[in-house]
Amino acid sequence: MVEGTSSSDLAAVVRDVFRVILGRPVAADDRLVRDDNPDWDSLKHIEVVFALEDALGVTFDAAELGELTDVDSIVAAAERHGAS
Amino acid sequence: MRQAVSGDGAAGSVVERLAWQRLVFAERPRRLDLLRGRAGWPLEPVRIRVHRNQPFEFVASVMAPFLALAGRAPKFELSPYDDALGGMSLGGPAPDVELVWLDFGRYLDRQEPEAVAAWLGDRLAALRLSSPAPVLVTTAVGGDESTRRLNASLETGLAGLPGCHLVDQTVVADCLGRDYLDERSRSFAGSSLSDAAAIETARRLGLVWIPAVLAPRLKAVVVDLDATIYEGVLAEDGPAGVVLSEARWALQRRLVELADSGVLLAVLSKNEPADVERLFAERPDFPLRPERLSAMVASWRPKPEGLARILETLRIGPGAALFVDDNPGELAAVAAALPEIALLDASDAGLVLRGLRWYPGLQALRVTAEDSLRAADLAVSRTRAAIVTAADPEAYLRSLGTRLTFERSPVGRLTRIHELSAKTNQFNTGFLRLSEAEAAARLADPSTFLVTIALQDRLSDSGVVGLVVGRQVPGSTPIVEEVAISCRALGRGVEDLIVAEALRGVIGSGHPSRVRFAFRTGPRNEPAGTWLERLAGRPASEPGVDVAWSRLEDLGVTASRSVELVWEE
Repeated sequence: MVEGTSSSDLAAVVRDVFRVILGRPVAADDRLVRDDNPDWDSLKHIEVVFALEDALGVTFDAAELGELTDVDSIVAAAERHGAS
Repeated sequence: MRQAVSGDGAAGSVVERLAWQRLVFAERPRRLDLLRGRAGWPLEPVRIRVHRNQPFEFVASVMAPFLALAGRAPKFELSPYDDALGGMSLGGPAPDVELVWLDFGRYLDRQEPEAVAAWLGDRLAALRLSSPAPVLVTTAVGGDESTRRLNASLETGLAGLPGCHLVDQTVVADCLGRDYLDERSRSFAGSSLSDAAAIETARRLGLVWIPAVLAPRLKAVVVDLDATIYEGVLAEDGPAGVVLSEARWALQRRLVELADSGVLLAVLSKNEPADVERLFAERPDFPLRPERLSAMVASWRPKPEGLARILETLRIGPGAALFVDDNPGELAAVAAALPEIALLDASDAGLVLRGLRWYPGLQALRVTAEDSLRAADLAVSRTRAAIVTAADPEAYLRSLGTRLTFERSPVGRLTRIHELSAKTNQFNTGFLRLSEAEAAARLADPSTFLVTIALQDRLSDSGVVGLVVGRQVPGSTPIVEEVAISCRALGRGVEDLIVAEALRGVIGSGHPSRVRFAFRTGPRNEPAGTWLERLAGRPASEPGVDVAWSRLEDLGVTASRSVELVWEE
């Protein structure tokens, strides 16, 4: 759980997770839309979810996993689970 | 391979490695921490070919930090998802390790467990023909009867396949319980392995299972006393005052388990010897008893000095030992003096316990009879040494009732053959470094010979201590490609007889005029070179030297007057 953070802070954490999991640079303003990033495949998606849950201290519902399609949707889902 | 550190970088490297241990021996390592880690020491690549019908990517992505502790950097070749494992027998360059990673549930829906095991056994036999690399097969996971039957059948079936090992994935499932599975990921990834399960699997593979098939097992663990096997300082708290916490009790129990599995134990402590004696006498609650120790040095001298004495007593090199101490300064001093030794930080009781479970090279996938004989054999070596100084060599061997047992087709000793070929450094003439699969192939090849030699006397049973490997083509000079003799047999005056009798047994009827001994110079095989030079009457140099058959016959006749010789088929 990242205490006392804003949406932009959460977005920075999310981008940092992507940098580590995808093993490449991610720009600070990159929206990271899944359809535009072929290296974000279904296997990487699960690895990203594992790492996001670890970094943000949240657990996403099974139904949400398919909706985590870019930085904004991930931040919104994280906030719904109490990450702030 | 265990990496050595030396020179000015030793202290820095030790600090880095000890910090690394906090990452890989953490109670629950975190994926992001593992992925961010970058080992700063040299790593040797290891090619791992994965045969699978389910994703392995989540495991592979976090395995590098664990393998780094063993000095390895993984390169994976992942097969397509294929229930039929069709690519298994296609050949191609052999990797260093073959890994079979299957979701057995996909088979058990359609077939009986025994049929699945038999089918997989056939596939592995085909793989065995195309690749000499060791094969690891992870077990099925599940508490149901079908899974139990399948794993039992796999265990039986794989036991007959050289170099194939069943590794127990159920230990990962058992330690994680409900956290082993995460059904959310099945629809995305075709696997319900949880993040924690993927990481724990990578930890077992990277720290234990893969190192166990790539490098010789560590032979000894040397432990400090104060703040290591108990809480407190003996010189200040006294034997009654030092505390055996639950965690340190578990650590001592783990040391005893290691001793039971053939690892030699020793104590190295900066304390008064009399205090240490009192400690063990007055603390019967310690699971670690002094009789389990093969060496003990208690003194105020620098620890590298004491450690060197211990290694000499145990007759092993620093690369075969793990030194455990709570003081980073002592660990750094030891690393600077003995760069090859493995180090484990004991300052955190939980961490050191996990380190003693999972340090690369501590666990063997198969424990041989020789492992369990090691400590007893070493214990009587002093008695034996006293006899040898008091008598001439022939009388010495006779007085001990020495017996050598030769085995011509030792198909049941593949693990020990691999150990001797892969581990022996001092008395090794050829460094073939045979895998179990390569040894099995030689046993099936009529143009080659492979003899194992076991040594026994009235003081101890040393088990299989020697190996003679060669090639004999009719009309050509026989070639001895490797003579490997364990250090536990050296100095007992049987080297000549081991080689002469082994060769008499396998090629003597051919009455060759000479035998060619292939020779390779290694970093520590001077004893083998000196022996071969004496045998041949000229310097042992690569690629080898010829020895007259009559010379071997003379040696055999002389030595056999004092030793009982037995041949077993």
